[in-house]
Amino acid sequence: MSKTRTHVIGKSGWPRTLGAAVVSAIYFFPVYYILMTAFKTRPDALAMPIKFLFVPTLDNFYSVFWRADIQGGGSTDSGFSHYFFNSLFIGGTSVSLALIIGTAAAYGFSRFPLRGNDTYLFIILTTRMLPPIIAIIPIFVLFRVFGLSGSYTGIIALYTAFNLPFSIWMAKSFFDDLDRDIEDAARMDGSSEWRVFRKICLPQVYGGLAATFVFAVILTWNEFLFALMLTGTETRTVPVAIARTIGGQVGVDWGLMSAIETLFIIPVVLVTFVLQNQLLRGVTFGTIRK
Amino acid sequence: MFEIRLEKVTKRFGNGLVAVDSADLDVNQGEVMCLLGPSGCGKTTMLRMIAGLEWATSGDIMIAGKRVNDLPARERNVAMAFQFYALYPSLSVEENLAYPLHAEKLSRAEIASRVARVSEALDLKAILKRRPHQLGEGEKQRVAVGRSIVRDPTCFLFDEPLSRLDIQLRQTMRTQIKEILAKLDKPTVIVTHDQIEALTMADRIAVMQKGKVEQVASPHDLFSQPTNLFVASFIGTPQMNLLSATLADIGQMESNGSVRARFAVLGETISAIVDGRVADLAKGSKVTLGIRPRSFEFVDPGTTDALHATVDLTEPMGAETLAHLIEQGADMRCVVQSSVAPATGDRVAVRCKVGQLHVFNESGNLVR
Repeated sequence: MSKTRTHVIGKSGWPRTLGAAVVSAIYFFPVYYILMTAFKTRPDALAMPIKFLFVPTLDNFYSVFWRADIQGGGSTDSGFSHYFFNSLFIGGTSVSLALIIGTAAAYGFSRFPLRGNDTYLFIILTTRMLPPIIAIIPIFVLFRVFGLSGSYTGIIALYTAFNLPFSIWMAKSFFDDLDRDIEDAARMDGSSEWRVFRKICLPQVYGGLAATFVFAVILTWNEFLFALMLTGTETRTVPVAIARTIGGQVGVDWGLMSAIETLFIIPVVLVTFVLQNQLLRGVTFGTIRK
Repeated sequence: MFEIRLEKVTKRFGNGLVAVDSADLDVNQGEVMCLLGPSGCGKTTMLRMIAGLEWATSGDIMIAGKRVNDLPARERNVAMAFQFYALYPSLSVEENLAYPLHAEKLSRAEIASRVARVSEALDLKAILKRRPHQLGEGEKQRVAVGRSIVRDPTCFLFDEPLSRLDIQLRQTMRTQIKEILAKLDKPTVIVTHDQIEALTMADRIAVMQKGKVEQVASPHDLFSQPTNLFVASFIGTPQMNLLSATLADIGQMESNGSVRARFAVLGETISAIVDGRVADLAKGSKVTLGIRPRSFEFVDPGTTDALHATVDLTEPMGAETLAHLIEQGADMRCVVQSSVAPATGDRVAVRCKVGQLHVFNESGNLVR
């Protein structure tokens, strides 16, 4: 393996490798800066010029979950463990729902086209063409009327609806690319339509669906606007909670914010890391088959 | 009795294209029928209609005495091997082989023993745990065949079974499939565009063109008695020579039903013994003479009934040489022993061997 590596570097040349390293470093710098700040004390975080060498501390991470009481030296729950749970629960549920419904819909659109199939697909796509902010007032009113404001049901339904067009279009393209002969073979081998879908088609698009899952998770995980308008204390997600740490009488606690963000990045990095092979297969779907 | 019977089967697609036009076909128990024809002739559509993957627009499809037109593929109990194998990519070879058996609700042990039997017969034991994408072309083909024979279907369908294999593999697989089919003793339909494949594997061949079945016959009959110009030119390599001629004279009817006739062709007049029914044609009729490249013999120039021509090009094919002869714009192909092959530019005389001249009437049908 190491032999191959050297060979590859040798082939593309040191200047190029160095160039790539520099570009990567530039991209990674903001993340690095956040990571660094998360371990700094408040004076270190605010120090100018930027301190690259400092004594690391875990205080910030402690403060994410426990806020020191002004009097008495005790501490109270900051609510962040709950916000993290909200983000995971709302994101996970809505993305999973979108993927399940989207996959079923996509299979239908791909295999059992309706009269006016393309029109339906186009209508579904148009919901992604507008900037979401345009829809915020009607949705806000809708949530008020139906009493969904601040509820899990409301925000999960909304995120599911947001992720559906993307899931349907992605999944449909995966199904479209499959070899129909394989399904015919399964039918000849005595399979019902359900079995054809479940045992033959679905396993072939797992990679693609995993990629879709990651994209949708990232999108939902970072969503701020609707979460700000439509979640309450109980259902608040991390992006909204981060925003609420800014301001107040004490100014911005950069160390604390960086610590929250560091924790906030971890789930997405994990998901992407676990699914990276699937992700690669999903993105290159169709180009390497056949 | 298991057999496949197609009666006046027509397939018209939504866009008005008639892929199969009123086709009749009978495949008997244990018989291997090849559907042969150029691409787009409707042979694959016909196979898919038997399989139940396409609905017939009209006509009857009978399998084992039962009309199956309205049965979906999964209820027809027909096994099919696809051109691109159509192995289930997410299943191992073993699971692929076992897949058709799940529908039959067999016990685990029974499934295992059947899979074992098939993998034994097709030499798949070593690759049972592999996935399709890890297999070579020949192995994929064997798995596809194995998956189709693992059940006990009423008939077998093969779509271009050997088209993806290289030449050596093709020969071994051809023999292997032939042996397997002989043992199974079920009606089998093989679609192919490769006539060698059809001639070697089939008991009978149905030649198709533009959705119509032109001729159904044994390989030998197809070769020796092609019913029309299409079949004549489609079967046989190199292609049969087709020369425009005029019926000049008809002689006495022989006792065996044949007749000696004289034809004006390429500015010369030749006589030959032909089928008696040629006598029914009017003198002066336009006909097409069909002579296979191997039916020519080289004779001394000036010999009676010989055609004279100039050698335009020779193509050595090993033991034999293919000579292209040119005369009055007509190109004639002759196959001769390489040891006596003429040289380019030679003026030569060729004569059709006795009884090997095919006469087609003006509408292109064999006179017989």
